[in-house]
Amino acid sequence: MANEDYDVVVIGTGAAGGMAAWNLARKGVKVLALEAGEKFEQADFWSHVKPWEARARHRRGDSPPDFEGLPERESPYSVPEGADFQLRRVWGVGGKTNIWGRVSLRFSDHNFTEPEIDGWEIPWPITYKEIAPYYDNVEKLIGVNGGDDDTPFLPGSKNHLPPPGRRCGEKLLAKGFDKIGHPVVSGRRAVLTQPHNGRAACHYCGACGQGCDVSAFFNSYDYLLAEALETGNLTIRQNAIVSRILTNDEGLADRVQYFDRLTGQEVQVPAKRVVVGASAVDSTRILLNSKSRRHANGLGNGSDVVGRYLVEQARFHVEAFAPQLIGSETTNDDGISGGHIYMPRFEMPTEKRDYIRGFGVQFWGIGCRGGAPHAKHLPGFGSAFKRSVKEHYPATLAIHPYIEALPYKDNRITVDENRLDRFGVPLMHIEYKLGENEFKMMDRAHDMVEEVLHVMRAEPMPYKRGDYDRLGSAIHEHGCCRMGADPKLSALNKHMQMHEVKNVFVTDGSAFPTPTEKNPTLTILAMSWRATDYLAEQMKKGEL
Amino acid sequence: MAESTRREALATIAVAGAAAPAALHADHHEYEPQAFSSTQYELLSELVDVIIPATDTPGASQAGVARMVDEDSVDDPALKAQVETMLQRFAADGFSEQTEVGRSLLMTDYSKAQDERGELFSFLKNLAVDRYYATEAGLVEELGYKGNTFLPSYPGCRHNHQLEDDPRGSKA
Repeated sequence: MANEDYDVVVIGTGAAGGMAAWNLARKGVKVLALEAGEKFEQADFWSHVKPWEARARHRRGDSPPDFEGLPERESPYSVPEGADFQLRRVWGVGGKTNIWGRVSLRFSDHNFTEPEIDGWEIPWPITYKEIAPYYDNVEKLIGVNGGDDDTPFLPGSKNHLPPPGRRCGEKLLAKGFDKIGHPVVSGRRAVLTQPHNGRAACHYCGACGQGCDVSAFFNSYDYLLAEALETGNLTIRQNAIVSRILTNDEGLADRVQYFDRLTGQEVQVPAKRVVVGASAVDSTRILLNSKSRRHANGLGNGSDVVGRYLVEQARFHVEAFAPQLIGSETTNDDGISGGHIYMPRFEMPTEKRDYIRGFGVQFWGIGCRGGAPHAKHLPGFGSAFKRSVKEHYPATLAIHPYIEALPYKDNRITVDENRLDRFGVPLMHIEYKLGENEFKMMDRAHDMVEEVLHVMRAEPMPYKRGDYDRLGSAIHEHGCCRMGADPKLSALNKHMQMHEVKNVFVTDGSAFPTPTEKNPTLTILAMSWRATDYLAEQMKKGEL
Repeated sequence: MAESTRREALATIAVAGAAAPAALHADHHEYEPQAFSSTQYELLSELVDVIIPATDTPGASQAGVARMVDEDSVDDPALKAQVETMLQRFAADGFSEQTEVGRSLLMTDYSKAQDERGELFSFLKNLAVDRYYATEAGLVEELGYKGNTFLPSYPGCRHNHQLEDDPRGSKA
């Protein structure tokens, strides 16, 4: 391993790392990508295993790929006593893009400028105008279906593939939301509704959560890494659990330390430049563990913002029955799995209300599914109950508001010197709470959900107003290494380059100063593309 | 959506009785229970069939629900203990000795009870519902599930649903 000579070491192979590796490799840059897990094989996916076949297979001792098991075994996290945070991670080539929700919403100009208007924490150092060409690039590359029904909070795109047809329940929801003055639009999802760039279209089996057996939705391996490997400029090293970025006397990165998961061996690979893209939480663990004389508080953390301002949307879920559909014919409601409609945020930044920022609403779990979770909410037993379950089967509706949370200094990730992994590396501790603003916004979202159910005459399944989903459940962790113009208040500049360590870039969700109300993957892809364009340019100029 | 009353329970029995004269236990007769005794297994089969009886589609035990509960209980001692507690309680109340109408009346009492019997009812209902609607009989034969297949396109809803449509399927 002494002869390893790579221009850039990329940590992680999901949306951020995969994009960095692809963009650099195709420009002729020699890249080593370090991945903590292994590749998931499409042949092992259970995409076409019927619900009743799954049980028989399990009893035979078969199992589908264990996408989420590895990080918890190798690198478990702790939370304060009595607190909760659900961290879902995928270690393996492609990371979470193997099983992501595929919602691909552009951030709007308002999303970028709003912190400056309301004054909560720091502004974004980039504008929509700067990122828009990269949204175009990403959409053309990966294929995103959607409408041309733009709103002020959902900028348009000329690149959308046709949206899938709406389900019965979605058509009724659209009428209901129209009636209360908050119209829905077609969802924007990275699922190929027609062949795109030589890839097969979706066949609407609805099993995306098992991994796609024909790569009809974007995942980092099939769409990025496979092509990068063909250039001969990319090497992927699997089972490499990165622990630290090591620095030289000038405080610049010069090696990446990892432990081989299979042999337990420590390896220090030389690194002229490093792109960190291991997801907001694991990237933070690596940066905080990278302590040295020059970086006593973790790598590039003189500002003490690394690990702070962890921010993740809050959500709640309301399910209901559409009376119009009770007793109607069973339909195949798989579609592209998940919602085909989306309700964009409607609160304008300057609009008077008792909270700042806003929420969007997503919809999944509508209509006939591969199970009958609604049955438990229907009373009684016997043949009347059985008939009721069948009649209500096509009529299920589900409404899922996504509440933008504000970044708070004390919502943070730390590393605990007293809890070590099997290689002796400190493990993560996560402290996360919601604030007053989030609860006020949730209250408003509840009002809206109740209003729409009322105009639809829909019967909600039992829920308690004020209940919300487990913190972390949106799987949209952001912050902890935020970008900004002021090096005292941020860790990265507008190119996602560390203010204090010029040859380290962090291109995942940890760079986001705010989470917005939207899903981050499209923006992570666009930002990682943009940052690595800059990195390659600087290399060419001899600046890095 | 009020809880069924005794009167409704009787009506239920009448309808179910007309459609399927006796509970169809085709499955469990060929199965040797592993976790439970044959008496316990017999009672378990009767109980899940009261929750989801055979109609023009299979009932719970015919769909393999009792068998699945038995299989799951081999690997899950906590589940086995809960099932045994439930079986003891129904046995003590003379469930098996009741006529079909009597069983339904007894189950109605359990379903309305605010005490431990109410919890046992929920437990039993969840045991049956979770497993039945994951079987081919429950999902395809009963509910008409059409999913997880290959389609060339996804046109979506072809109806003309209106918010004003009346419940129970009257639509354009």
